[in-house]
Amino acid sequence: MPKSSNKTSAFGQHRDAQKTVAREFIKRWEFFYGKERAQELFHQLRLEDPRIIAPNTLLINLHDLQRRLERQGFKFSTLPEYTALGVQYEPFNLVATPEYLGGWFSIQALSSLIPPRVLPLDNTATIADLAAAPGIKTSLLAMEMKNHGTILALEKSKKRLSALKATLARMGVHNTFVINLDSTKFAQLHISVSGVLLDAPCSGTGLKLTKDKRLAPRILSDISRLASIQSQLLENAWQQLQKGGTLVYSTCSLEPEEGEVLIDTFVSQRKPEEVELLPIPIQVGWPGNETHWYEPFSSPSLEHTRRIFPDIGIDGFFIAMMRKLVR
Amino acid sequence: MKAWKSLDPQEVETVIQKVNAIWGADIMTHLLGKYLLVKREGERSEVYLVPTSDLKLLNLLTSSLTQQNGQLIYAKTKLGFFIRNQFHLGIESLSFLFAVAAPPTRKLILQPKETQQFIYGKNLEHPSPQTLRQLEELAVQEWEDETPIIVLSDRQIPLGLGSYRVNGNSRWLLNIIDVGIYLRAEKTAF
Repeated sequence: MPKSSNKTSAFGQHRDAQKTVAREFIKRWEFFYGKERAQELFHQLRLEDPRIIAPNTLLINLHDLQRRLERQGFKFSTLPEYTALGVQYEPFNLVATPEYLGGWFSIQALSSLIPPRVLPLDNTATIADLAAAPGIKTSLLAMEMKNHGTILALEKSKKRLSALKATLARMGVHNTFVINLDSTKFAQLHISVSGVLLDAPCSGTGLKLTKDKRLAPRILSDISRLASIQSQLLENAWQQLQKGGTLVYSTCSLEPEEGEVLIDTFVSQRKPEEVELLPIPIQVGWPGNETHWYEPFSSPSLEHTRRIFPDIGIDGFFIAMMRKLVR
Repeated sequence: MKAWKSLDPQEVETVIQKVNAIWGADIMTHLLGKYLLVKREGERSEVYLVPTSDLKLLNLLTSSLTQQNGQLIYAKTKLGFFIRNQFHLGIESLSFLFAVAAPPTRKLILQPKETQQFIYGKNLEHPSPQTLRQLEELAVQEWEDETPIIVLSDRQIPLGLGSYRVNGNSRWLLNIIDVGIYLRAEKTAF
């Protein structure tokens, strides 16, 4: 097993941050992504997220939303590649506007906008969103489906259901069944779907440290425990996916076990005529096969997955899209 | 576990009358050709509009979820709820009804300052002359006193439901429900 040759940590000068970020995570990132990138990555993780809003395209387009809010004194930078706006100045809190309360836009991380938008959707699709709360990604799916078809929004946590229902109600989503169920039991519902969004529960190591200092309580054993749950979720979802259906898998983790390794194992356990990894139509990050792992990845098509780093103003995450070629 | 059931004919009639009265037009006859009314039973029975084409899926979901100790919590469009046999239109229904039905004839468009007051959950105790004029026109048309009125912002965003109240010389708008509830009571209202 190769080891990193760096004797001193890339984060040596950030003593306060070292208290937050467990030593093993730092070493891992240097090994997986290289010392220079890991240093930049850690620097970016400590920065505040910009506030991002995206229009509810069921009600308004990006340009009209911007014009409408700017008339009230707000200022934005436009992010047309994400169909979103970066908030530069708020004369008062955006959530106090009738536009927010009326569901004309949502506030979320840039990274949340990508997975629902890459999933191929049409107005008759039946889609499963297997970790739905707090409902932002479900709302984005509904927008892509023009509020037609059906979304099965599964959420295991009873506590998070209120937020999910409130988001769907506020955003005017009317094509969704909200289901309180552990998604590892999804296959037992015997409902086949044409698409799956699996934004799996994860260690969250790609999220900015300002969000609850997420790295602090994490230990390496969490990674393998979570990877095992993610694997179960993926197997369950795959079982219910129709032939020709598409599954988008994503996690906001920087750990390859929750991303590249999981997908490589999943694909390599199947014949090439059973599963096809599809390219992700985004220009950020690098191909998943460029992540350094202890042994070479088995699947050459892992190059179609994307590893996104928190060094471009968004949270770090991993995303893969797969088509099922058999029943 | 709360059971899902069809509404009985009396309940269906109550819902039709109430929604049509609030909207000021018969919108339910058209909708009930395409949608079913179902309820999730409880102390406050939630009423949903589900497309007729989803009936099979709805049945499959409710039966298989029972076996897996899961629950169906929300079915497509929540129209409102029954409390003690009284039907109340839910705020969740407004965006749907605005999207699929003809615009309401019973509506009140607020001024910007009144919009802010209303979405903070407040009554409009001193309506502006423009708002007062609209309220008086509504009253002249002899609608039932306490039938809720659809309240819109000056930029045509549905804000909620209100009710016109007259007490001696004072005329005001009672806030029944407004979209501010999404922030104020996310954990309890939904």
